[in-house]
Amino acid sequence: MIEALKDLERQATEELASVSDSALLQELKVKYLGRKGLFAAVSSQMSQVPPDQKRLAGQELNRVKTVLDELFQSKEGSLGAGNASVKSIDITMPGTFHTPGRLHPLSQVTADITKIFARLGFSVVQGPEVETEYYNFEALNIPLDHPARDSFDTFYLENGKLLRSQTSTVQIRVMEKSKPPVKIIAPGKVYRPDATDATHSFMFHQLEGLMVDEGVRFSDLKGVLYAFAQEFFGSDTKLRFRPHFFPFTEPSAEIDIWMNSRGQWLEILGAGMVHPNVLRAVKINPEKYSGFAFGMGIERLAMLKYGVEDIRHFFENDLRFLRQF
Amino acid sequence: MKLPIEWLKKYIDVSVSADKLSDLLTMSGSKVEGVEKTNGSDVIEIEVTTNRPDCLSILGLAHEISAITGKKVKYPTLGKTPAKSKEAIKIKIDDKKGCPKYTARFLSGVSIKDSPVECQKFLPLVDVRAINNTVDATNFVLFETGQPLHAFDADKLKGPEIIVRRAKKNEKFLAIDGNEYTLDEDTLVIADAERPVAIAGVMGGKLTEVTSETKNILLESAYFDPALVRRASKKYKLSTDSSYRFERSVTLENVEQASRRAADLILEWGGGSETGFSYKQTASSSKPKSVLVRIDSVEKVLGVKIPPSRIATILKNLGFGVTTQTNKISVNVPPFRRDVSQEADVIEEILRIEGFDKVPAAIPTTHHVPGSARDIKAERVLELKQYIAALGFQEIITYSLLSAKALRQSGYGEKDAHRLKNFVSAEQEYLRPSLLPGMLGAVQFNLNRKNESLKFFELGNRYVNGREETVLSLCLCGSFEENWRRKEESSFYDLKGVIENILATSQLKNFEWKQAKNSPLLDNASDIVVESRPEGSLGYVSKRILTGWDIAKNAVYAEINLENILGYNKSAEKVKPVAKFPIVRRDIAFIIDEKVPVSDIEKAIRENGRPYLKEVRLFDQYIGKNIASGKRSLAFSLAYQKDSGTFTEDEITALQQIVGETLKKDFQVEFR
Repeated sequence: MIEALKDLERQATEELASVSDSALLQELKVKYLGRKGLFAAVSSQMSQVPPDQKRLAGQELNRVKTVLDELFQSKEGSLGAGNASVKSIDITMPGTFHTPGRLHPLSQVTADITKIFARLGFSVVQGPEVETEYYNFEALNIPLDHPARDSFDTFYLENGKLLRSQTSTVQIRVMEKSKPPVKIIAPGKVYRPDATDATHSFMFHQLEGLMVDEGVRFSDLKGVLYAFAQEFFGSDTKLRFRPHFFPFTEPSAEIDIWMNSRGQWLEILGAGMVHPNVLRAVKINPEKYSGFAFGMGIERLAMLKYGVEDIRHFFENDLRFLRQF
Repeated sequence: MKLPIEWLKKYIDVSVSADKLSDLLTMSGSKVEGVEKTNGSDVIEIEVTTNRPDCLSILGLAHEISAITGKKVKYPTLGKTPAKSKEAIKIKIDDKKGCPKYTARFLSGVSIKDSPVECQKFLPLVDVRAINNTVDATNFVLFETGQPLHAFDADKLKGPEIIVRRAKKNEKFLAIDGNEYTLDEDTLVIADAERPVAIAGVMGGKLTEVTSETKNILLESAYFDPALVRRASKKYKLSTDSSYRFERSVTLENVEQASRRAADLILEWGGGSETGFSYKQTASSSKPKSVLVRIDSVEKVLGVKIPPSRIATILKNLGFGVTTQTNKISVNVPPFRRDVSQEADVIEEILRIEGFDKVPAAIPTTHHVPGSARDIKAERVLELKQYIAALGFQEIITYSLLSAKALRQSGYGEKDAHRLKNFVSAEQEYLRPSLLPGMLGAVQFNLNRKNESLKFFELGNRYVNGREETVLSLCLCGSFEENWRRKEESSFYDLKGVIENILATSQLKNFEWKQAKNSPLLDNASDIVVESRPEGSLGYVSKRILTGWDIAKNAVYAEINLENILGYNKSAEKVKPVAKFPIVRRDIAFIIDEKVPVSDIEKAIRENGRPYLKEVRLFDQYIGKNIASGKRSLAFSLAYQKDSGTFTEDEITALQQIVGETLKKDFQVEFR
């Protein structure tokens, strides 16, 4: 049997050397290694080998099998034929792993903004949406029965609480808990009883920012907002700071961005130096500390960035819309 | 506030174009919304912020422009009140806080006719209709000075005095707009002996209005409490040029001058003579406020150096009294600038005239802030959302406010949700007690548009029993997997697996699934118990609810409270050494009563495989052909491992046997 195996090896080596075509190679592979091939035939003689030679014969059988396998493999490699299973792959068929979902565009924009401010040293915090008069108005220097409240029309609950009409509530909650230095941003939902149209929604998202420390100046606010806007909208972004009025900041500013496509300035942010009355309300000494705060509408930024025309698209959750982000 | 350029030019030289002027106003805080041409003249529309009622007049804006351009304001010359003027009428003020100052002027023999051409041209530019010389004069002065005035037909007033009082409950009042209002006791009115003749600061009465027959006029100029006027204006839904100014506060010191100016115009345009003047002031004029501004504060707050001389010039041009001292400036605030009361206010005044563009952009020097204000939950929200999205779920954001219909359709009663007091549309009546209604709305919306195979999640707040909670909702509807290799409808088990992954990624290991007792919303529901607290549930949305939403497919839904899960404190665990000795796997398959929960079987296997059994994993379930009804065939893979050494075949067989015997004894299983 050992002789027969050696013959088989010699014969196969010779025949293989002359093969230059993959169809022939496959024929040859069947002839030698097929289920009814020559190797199978020789190995079936194993049962007739006398017991004392069995071990040697077995070793030879394994050796020749390995040699043949390698011979055919290397020949297949050189002819570029590939093996049987590879041959059945149609690489143009679609992959079959599940499609990942996506974050809602408003979450994506929030995440983008959060990342920019994180690199500026701001950490993200949250506050409740159901709030009290104190956090939504009083502590923010907005007196009762004052026309300033007109800008903050508010939903009230039957239990006497209200739905925050601005994320500035979080400023107060943070400053009550943490002493300066404080550097936070607070994204979240806000509510206003506005009639709904393409640019107004009774529910929308804001992102509030606050920094309080010794020696914080209006120039720092400007620097931070420039850094943000140029990262978010592009390095050639132009901003315009305009005086404005907010009860909780002094000086206050509205910030416009120059939209080349529209040839006009568009308001994107409200900001200012934290009003000394607000600092006093949370027992921070305005003589020692100063700070700035800013707030922006996430929907507005998303609409500008992605050219979304109607704010209601964000809340319909149409997959054909959501999958574009 | 509308600012007609032509009218403005009566008081100040404006040599720049309307566009240039708009830019100057905008950049100093009076934001221009637009410039429009009305009847051939430019009218600038300005957004006047609530802190600047002094800019709700053309003279006020002229003063602002003067501060920016340096041009002087030409104020109208006022006539003189006759020296021996007798009392026009007796004034009685019952509500002294509501009306700190009231003046009345008696003008007799006035002939009512059209006002001059110029006045008739100007009033429409500020959206006011010209009526007659007297009414037009009061309106003209309102826009010129910001002080609202009212002219009564003096002959129609009953009784000897004017009374400023609160209305009686349910007292009736016929206003100039022709409507009758039923008043309440919070309403401040001007009354004669018999009835209210005006809602103070809001609107005059029909029965005492000036008509073409009027001969004698009582001209009112007063200061009314802003909060009272605001309440009345809101209560009766009457917003007038007058109420708009009173609720923002007029200038107490301007009350008499405006009355003088209006009287001058009425007499000039209609003849007649001034025969009386009454005056009642219940509060003394507040002393001019004085604010100390430290020169170095300006730079400390703004980050830009402005020379003291420049600061003084800006403040003087704005009408502030300025006394320069060493390193500080003492500033006297004029009465019309009630909004300025502390140093920060003055600094803003300086900056807005100097220009916000003069401040350089810097970056704060404190970069890293130690973590007292850190909010771990908030920080993890984004991470969690990204993880769930990667698992194949699309994030949605739905409204937190719901209609009663959406609530009911989702199996909630109106008592389960908090109701809003002042919702604008029926779509916003309730605050959501669950994310289920929003989710079903999104599913319905997409199915109707042939968007199928839905995997949605939302992370948001719900409000139940006065508690606001951040929760996660997940929904599968349609196929879970659908490609040319595998097609699988979404099932309970898919979403269960997703949730297990979510909990595992939050490092939570201690969670269980418990049969929900009675869930009205979900069929085949399971409670999710995390660290021994019920934190959510999972199941098939009940058919009844799906039918209500017109959803024809099954929907698997889960809602999980994240309050504890997001805040879970992941402590770093020390790594365990990887076992050195080989693990041996053996399968065990049997037929068992289908009612026995897999968790019970697993528990029994674990207990009996001690101490070598390391893993138990269900890898197959079969129900159907060749299995008696009420039974199922289950197959588990068990893995044994020793801390030291390997097993012999006999040892493994013995271990498997113990497990097998127990299953036979405890659950009467049949081995296959």
